[in-house]
Amino acid sequence: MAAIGRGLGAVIGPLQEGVAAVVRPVGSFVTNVFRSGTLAEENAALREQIATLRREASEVNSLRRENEELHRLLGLSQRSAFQIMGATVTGEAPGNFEWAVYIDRGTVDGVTVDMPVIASEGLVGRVVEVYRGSAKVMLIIDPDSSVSVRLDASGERGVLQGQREEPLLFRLIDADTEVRPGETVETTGYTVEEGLEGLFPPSIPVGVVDSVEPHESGLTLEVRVRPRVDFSRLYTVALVTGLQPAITSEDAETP
Amino acid sequence: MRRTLAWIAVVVTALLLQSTVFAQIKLGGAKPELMYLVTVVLAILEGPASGAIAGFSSGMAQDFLLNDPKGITALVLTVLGYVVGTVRQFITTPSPALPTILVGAGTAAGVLFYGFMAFLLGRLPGDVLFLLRVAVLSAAYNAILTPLAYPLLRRVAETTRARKVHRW
Repeated sequence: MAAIGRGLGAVIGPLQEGVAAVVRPVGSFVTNVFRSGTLAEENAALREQIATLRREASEVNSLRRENEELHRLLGLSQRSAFQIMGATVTGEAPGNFEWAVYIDRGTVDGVTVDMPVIASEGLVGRVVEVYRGSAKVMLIIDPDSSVSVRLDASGERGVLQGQREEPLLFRLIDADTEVRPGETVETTGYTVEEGLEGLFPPSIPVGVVDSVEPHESGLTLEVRVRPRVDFSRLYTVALVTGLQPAITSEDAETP
Repeated sequence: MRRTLAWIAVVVTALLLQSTVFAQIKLGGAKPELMYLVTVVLAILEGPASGAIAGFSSGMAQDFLLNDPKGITALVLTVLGYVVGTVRQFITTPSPALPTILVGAGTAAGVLFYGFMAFLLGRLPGDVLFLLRVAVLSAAYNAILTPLAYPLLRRVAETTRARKVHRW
């Protein structure tokens, strides 16, 4: 008896497989026809999800860039011992004869006139007007802007003047100074005495020497400086709100 | 009264556009001068007196916006509005390109005049070459915007016009 059962099973098995192979696709086709309504819905929902995810991905990218820039700014401020407050550039000044941007910090954030503004690459400018929630920053390329700077190698000081879209002009009084193209130019933070300080904190990179020419009088040198900051791509910047307090000798001796 | 309000709205809109949208979109590095555009178009549509008034008010508005010495742009645009309005009266066969030509020429002349005034005040941020470049580029930009702006402003003028004969 058992042998007959096994024999039947041996025959029916493959038959079952064969039939299932035919019936299954037909069955699933029929089921799919009835499912097509929900499939279309699922499709639309998935498409929407993809669109949302794409938007979030690009947001993540720009947040990551902002994050990197803020890190660089923080690093710069920590190395140079001053306090900063981050800000975003919201627009450009509308006139044809001015070079300035607007930022999203104002009097409510403690911004004051003449506050320096930097980006991680270097000096951007200073605040010239403050409103409640925004401020206007005059860029260093504005011809009205003059920054007191110092050549990296020789330490010679002078004033750097904005020249609109052209490299900034640095008039060097000592015509014998050695200046080499590629040399860095930094702010001096020149302090004469208490209360009579330079506007910008010291040692902020401003630009790189582009060319050196003697002035027609032969008495001075005209040094052209290419700014380190790309002013057409300003987005995340920082205001210098103060100098970090110096460590007093008492603090240093605390056990 | 209605037309005064309408024209005030036009000037305010131009000011807003100048400081937001058009501060970023430059033609060869120059921004348009929408106050000059509005003044010239208004002078074409309404005559020298209205042109001068429009010039004065939009010029003052621009001086406050740009933090310039108050009155410098007002002077330039008042003169521009009056001159364009007067010139318009002498043109008996206006061509369709007339607004564009007047806006272009008017803007160029106006910007040069502004540059001269700025130079007298020691405030010109560049040399003559720079001034010429700004004048030409902003005039071109204004001229390009005129075919868009003129029909709109003419509509404003016509719908607010009082129903009586105008004597220039």
